[in-house]
Amino acid sequence: MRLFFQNNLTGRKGRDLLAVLVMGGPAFLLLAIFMIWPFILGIDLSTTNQRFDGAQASDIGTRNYERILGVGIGGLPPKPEVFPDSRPGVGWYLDNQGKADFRWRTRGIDDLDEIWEGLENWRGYEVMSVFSIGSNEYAIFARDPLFWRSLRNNLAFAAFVVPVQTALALMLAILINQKLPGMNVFRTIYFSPVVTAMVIVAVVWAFLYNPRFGLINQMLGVLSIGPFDWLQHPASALPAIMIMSIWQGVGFQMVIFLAGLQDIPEDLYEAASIDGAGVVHKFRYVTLPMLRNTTIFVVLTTTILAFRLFDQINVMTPDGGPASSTATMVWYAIRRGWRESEIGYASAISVVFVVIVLMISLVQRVFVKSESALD
Amino acid sequence: MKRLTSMILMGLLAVLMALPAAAQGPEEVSLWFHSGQGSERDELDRQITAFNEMQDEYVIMPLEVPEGSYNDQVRAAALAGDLPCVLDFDGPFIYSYVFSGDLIPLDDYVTDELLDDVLPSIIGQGTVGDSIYSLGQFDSGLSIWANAAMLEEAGVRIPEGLDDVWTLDEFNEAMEALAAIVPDDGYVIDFKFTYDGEWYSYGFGPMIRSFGGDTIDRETFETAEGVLNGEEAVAWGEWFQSLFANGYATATPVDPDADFMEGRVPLSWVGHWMYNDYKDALGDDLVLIPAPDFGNGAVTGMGSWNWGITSTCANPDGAWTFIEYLMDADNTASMANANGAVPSRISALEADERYQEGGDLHIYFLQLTEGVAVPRAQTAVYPTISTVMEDVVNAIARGEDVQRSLDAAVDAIDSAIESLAG
Amino acid sequence: MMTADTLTSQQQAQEARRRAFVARMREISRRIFTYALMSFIGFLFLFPIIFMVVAAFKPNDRVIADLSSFAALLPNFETFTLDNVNDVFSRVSFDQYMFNSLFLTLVTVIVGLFVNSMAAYVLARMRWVGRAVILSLVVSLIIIPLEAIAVPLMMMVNNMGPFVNLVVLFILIVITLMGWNVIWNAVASMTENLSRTLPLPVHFALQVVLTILLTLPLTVLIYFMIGQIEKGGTWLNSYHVQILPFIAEPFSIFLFYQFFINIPKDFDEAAYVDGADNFRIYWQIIVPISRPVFATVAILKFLQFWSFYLWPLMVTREDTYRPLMVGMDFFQTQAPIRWGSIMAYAAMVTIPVLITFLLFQKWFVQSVSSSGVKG
Repeated sequence: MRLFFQNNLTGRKGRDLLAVLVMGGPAFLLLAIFMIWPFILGIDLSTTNQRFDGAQASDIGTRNYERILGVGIGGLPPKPEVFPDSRPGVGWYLDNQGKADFRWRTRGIDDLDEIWEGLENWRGYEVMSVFSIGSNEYAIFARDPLFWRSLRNNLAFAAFVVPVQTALALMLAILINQKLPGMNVFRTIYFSPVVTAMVIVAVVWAFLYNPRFGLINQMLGVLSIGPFDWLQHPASALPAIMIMSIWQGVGFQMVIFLAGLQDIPEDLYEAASIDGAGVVHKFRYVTLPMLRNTTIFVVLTTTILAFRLFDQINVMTPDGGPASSTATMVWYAIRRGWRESEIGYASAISVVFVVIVLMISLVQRVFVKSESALD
Repeated sequence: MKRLTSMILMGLLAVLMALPAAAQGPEEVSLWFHSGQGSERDELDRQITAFNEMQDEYVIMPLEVPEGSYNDQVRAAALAGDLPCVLDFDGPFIYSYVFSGDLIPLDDYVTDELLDDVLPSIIGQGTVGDSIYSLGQFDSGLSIWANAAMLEEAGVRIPEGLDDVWTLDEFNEAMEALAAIVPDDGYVIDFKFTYDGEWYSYGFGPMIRSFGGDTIDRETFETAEGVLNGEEAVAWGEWFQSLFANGYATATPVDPDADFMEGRVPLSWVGHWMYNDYKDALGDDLVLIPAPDFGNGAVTGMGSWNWGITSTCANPDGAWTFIEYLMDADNTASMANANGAVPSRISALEADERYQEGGDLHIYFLQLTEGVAVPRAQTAVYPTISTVMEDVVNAIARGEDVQRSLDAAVDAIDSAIESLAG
Repeated sequence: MMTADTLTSQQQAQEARRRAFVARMREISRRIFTYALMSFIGFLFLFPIIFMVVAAFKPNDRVIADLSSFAALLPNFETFTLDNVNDVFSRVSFDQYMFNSLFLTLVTVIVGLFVNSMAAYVLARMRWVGRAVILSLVVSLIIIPLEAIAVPLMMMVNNMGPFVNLVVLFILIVITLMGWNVIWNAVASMTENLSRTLPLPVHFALQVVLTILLTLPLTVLIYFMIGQIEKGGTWLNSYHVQILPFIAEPFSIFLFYQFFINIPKDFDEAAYVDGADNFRIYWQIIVPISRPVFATVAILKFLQFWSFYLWPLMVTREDTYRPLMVGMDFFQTQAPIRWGSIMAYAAMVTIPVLITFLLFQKWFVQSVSSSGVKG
């Protein structure tokens, strides 16, 4: 191999160029083939109706995006005094919990504006949810409600898991960081879920969450809490997955915080003590500012993980959970692209997904920039 | 020295490059099958081995694919031109596969002699347009397996045949009576909510039909509007939901097979495939109760896994030779024996006393031959119906609003029809 | 209120002792509280894992029967059984899955270490036209998650053209030649002492055999690729479709880059002036002092690929190529559902990794903490 480098290429420049090509080339080429090219291909496919089962694809422009992003708020007719016994094609009815809902079956109805001015605009949309402001009734119409539910679930997941997991990780790191014997043992214990694969964790927890037999309901029962339906109920399915995800991931962040804590010079605390600072003050004015970078890193990675959420969802609630309460963007893209073979549509969802992740990263970049300016 | 080593290494690489070379021998015929229950798999293995040994012209190369994602795998392989020669698939998917041009007609191969001896339901299911595309070794039976001892204890009547099936009221009364006698850790009826995928369309589509609804408008096959979300289907949904709300059934069973076999549950709405296990566990207490009449006549499911030859098959003669071998009366009989299904050869059926008057499986025979069994929707969007039914049956069992769930199911099916049309 | 000047010296001493006693008691009770709190948290982290392991070795019918009490978490040696384990082996090809997971993970990680560290070397320690562009491209690729390109990537590997196949094969050959060169020289220096005692041909043969063994991951990939080119068509359902797209990885390159860029210039300057080629500097100077970052990347990648689920789920269809996680997903839904067996499967996947983690705990923790320091 050295012969290869040295024989004819004695000049430093030429030698360097060859080294760049031979040593860096494989990685850069592989990245180009397996990341950049599929990314571009995805953008290209997102403007087609390509299917996986062999049907011919044609260019449909931005129609996929129009469907995904098609959403709006429209006025509805007022609720009737007495709800009809039989459900109208378009109109109000009472659902089985006695809640008023608006039914929206437009097929076969020629003029929707006759029912209520403006409804014709929403032909081809589905009613995602209804709400009222004062005495006026409105509905959120979406062409693809499942996409918006998925996005909402991702946001809810991030909104809960990011702060809670970060705070818990910091708390655990502070606990572990005490100079007491045996802390290594606890560190090992708290970290052990991290080395357990998510699919395995999800399968075990799905059993623990079983409403009838699950250990979690049994243990909460001892404290007279519950029982909960966990994965079976729209209100608790996503929280159940959140709790499990925190359990599995918090050890990772804890170790990162621990490293951050151990980098804080001891004399900062001593100086604070001399100034008469208490535990709370020291935490507020020494620990937190010193951990700023670490915290930003932890928040960023957890946020991105929250948007990439898939494994747990697909193992615990392969159908996206009760009332799509655990559907996520990645889960939805895979369902459309892989299970239902609509490659074009799934690619468009993926593109929207990338844009969202990109925006989060940019926000993050701004934070880090302002920090390094301070240094 | 360095140059020498480089050359040796280069030489080794060259040798490696030449390594993958195929051996000559009998023609290979690839085959995919679904990983079903153990005894069924073992029996198919046995038949494949026997076929490979009895002749040396072809050798069958089987590959087992998990049932849950079977259709996904077939689609992926179809696009890549990577389908096997002989394809095993669940009956109703035939319309989608023929629509995509994945299968070849078997008309040139089948003999009238064979067709005369095959159950009409199998031929009906395998026929698209004027051609037959698939044949199966067995048809399926769906109704209620019951624990006779528990039914007697609760004083619930056991129907004899198709003339005295349970009505909706009788079914509800049976629920109430049985709820009084099941143990604390039991429930009344097992709906196999641990299954994935196709089960929900196969198992609950007929119930909806018996209420007067359906999964698609079978006049036009252009919409599910008014059929899957009409009054009748909503009535089914509300009734079905009440079974779970009242605790007669559970949407989160842990081990429903054991629940039935160990006497915690008296009724099990499931197909023929549980027969052998149930029989071993309950013995003479096991009885088969025909599908009830929920108002619009008794309806049950039919159709099962079939064999077809793909359009990319390089060796259709070899593929057919094997399918013909599978369809042999002895092989259909021994497969049916292994999995408890209804053999597709009429001669095999007549020779099996379990299907005769008084036999354990007589009800299946009646349901299949007397028009109670109805095929699943014959449409190319069937794969969507299948996933949608899984979603909607689960949603209703969990207590979600019936009308809203069924409306959403209709939207999904209709949008699939639309996107397929153009 | 007592003041110091009203106290006798005896009282003062008594008071000091009392205070010391109170302080000590307070410290002890604080410690007891800390340990109790940490043990309780430890229990929360451990109980699902304990439950899984205990249930794995319990008769199947006891798994559910024991759930209502703490028996669910207590090993019972009287009822210890391997039935569940045997059931797993009899119903699925667990050994095949285990082999696949180990094989896929090890090959991806080892080849990835080599390729990505070389690319990082080229980016961090060499100056060439386009370096800045490529570097920022690699960094920006970090935020594109696999989930976002999974669908188009699958579409792509399903219809890979012969040209791309050849390019990939060429890249592999380049990597392999370099790998052989490295290993050959490393083996040579390792066996140098032996060469004095062994006759030359024996020594040479030993060197050849060792080199072949150590470069097996690379050779195997070439073998797969040649098979692929002969077969043509789809990459789906193979080993290489689960390896090749993930060898080059931006985050690994970034971690290496950060480490390499901080190595002082004069470290390798002398060697460079002496005319050593870049590959030699990389291998003999940079790699030996970069062991920590190699360990970091190796462990992070190991955890990632060991639990890899989404991609193998989409691209495998038969047991021959299926890794453990996808196998778990199928096993948990395949009738008859026996929770004892499912837990046995989960335990058999988890226990080896947990043991590895306990043995190399320090490395694990270090690698995680160093993944986040710089963000």
